[in-house]
Amino acid sequence: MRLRPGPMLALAGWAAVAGGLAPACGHVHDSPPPPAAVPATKPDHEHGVETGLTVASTPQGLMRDGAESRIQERLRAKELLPAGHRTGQLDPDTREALRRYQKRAGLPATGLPSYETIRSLGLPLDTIFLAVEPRSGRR
Amino acid sequence: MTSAGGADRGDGSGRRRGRERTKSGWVAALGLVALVACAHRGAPPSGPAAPTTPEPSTRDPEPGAAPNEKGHALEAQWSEISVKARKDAHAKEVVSAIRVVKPKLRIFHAAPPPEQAGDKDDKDGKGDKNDKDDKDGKPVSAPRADETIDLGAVLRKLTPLDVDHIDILDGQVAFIDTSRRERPELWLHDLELSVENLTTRLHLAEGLPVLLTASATVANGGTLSLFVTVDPFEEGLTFSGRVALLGLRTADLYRFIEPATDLQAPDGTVDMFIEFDCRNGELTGGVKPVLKNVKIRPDDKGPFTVLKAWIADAAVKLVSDRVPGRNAVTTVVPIRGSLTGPDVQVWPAIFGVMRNAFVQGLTSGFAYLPPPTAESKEGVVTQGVKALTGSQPPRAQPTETEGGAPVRAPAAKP
Repeated sequence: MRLRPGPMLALAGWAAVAGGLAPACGHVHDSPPPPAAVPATKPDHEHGVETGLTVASTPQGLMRDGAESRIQERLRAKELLPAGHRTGQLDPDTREALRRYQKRAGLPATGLPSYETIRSLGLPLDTIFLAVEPRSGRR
Repeated sequence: MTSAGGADRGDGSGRRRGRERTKSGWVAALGLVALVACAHRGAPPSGPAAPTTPEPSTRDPEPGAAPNEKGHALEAQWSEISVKARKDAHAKEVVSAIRVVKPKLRIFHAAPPPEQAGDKDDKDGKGDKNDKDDKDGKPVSAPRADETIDLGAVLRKLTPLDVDHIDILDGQVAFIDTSRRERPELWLHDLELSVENLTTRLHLAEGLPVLLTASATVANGGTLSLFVTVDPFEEGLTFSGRVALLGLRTADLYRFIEPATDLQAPDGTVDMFIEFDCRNGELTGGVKPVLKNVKIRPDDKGPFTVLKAWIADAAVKLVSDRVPGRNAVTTVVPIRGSLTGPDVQVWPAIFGVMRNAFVQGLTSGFAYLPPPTAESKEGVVTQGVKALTGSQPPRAQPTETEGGAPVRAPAAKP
């Protein structure tokens, strides 16, 4: 059977239109979910030009390497985290454990590592946070 | 800043003066923190459609305020405040801790009447009489874009002071927009907040920045988390932070959306992620609102409203990310700006950034609602030109009554 070019072109055209519209259709595709947070516009932390103080938008950016593990260790010792929980990250379980600890200690229960929380856990601040010697001679 | 108190008189009343010195500071901080979730200025459903006839200049600027609330900006009560102050050899006086338990704040917002707002900068058209011109004829008091505030210099003029931490436990904050009859309210509760290392001397900071951490519940189940660091000793404003708001139900925004659009969003949630970073006054960052499983329904059964709701609902579905198990709309709105000038202060700047980001996020999240209605009926050519040139967003066309008078549909303000 011989196919005429007219209908074939029309068919190809409709196929192209359908393909173009496909991304906007209502079907469910197996695409990965979008990232949970805003893409970072700056490095995780930076130091002030004049003072050398660390300024960061996340707790991780303000903390030293391994700080999360030290916090988890204290929380495990207080039986606020399971003995096997050693992720070394400020994950939801660790934040919930921090929140419970803060509530118990009468601190604002934010679930975030504040200076007072770290002191209360018996950890020196400079072992957890990126404390620096100020660069300038300002007093 | 809480350090705005007077000089040390050395009369031994440190505790009392510490309390006085810091009282206005924490109230200001509390109020500013509350502004994070403030959605009344420029929020997507920020008001009903513009009136077809000009309103008299004597209109009530606070139609939503109860008689005993007229002119109020803030009401606060609390069950407990404790202030601990001590002296040490290093500084003359150190206020170490302020703790506020179960504070309840109500913050009222009423936009000034248009004629008042327009005249705010120059009432008589001759400029402020306090402004003195310099040699170039430029007003001296006008902030210049290239000026930066040296916060460290300001702090050095103050008495050495170390507010080790300000804690707020189990707080409640309500934002009430009294500029609208519908009186939209947004509540923050279970507010837990900590501000630490508020020193006025670099050597008291122990090499660490000011740290603000907070969490709260917004309306009926949205969870707010806040992390901000500030270097108050840099020459220009330097701070960085992140805000995450998860699971705010769109039904809780009913009073913000319905009066402006005649539409309801009874199902679905909004997540909002805000990140900002300011280095020596240069602000960058982004806002990412995520609308999940949002469904738009008409407020009444009128054919126009039903059609509008159908279009909005279809638009939300069309731009969703089609992830299995949910129907989410996402976008990222960049934050850019310059926070310089002699009058720029760090805490108002930070909370202003967060408030604006929240409003922008909501705005872009609900940008798929129907467009505002045109003042008068426009021809096809006019609409086409506007759409193609991008001079104005396309507008819905008003319908006409039997008498011929145009009826403008309530507009959604994206």
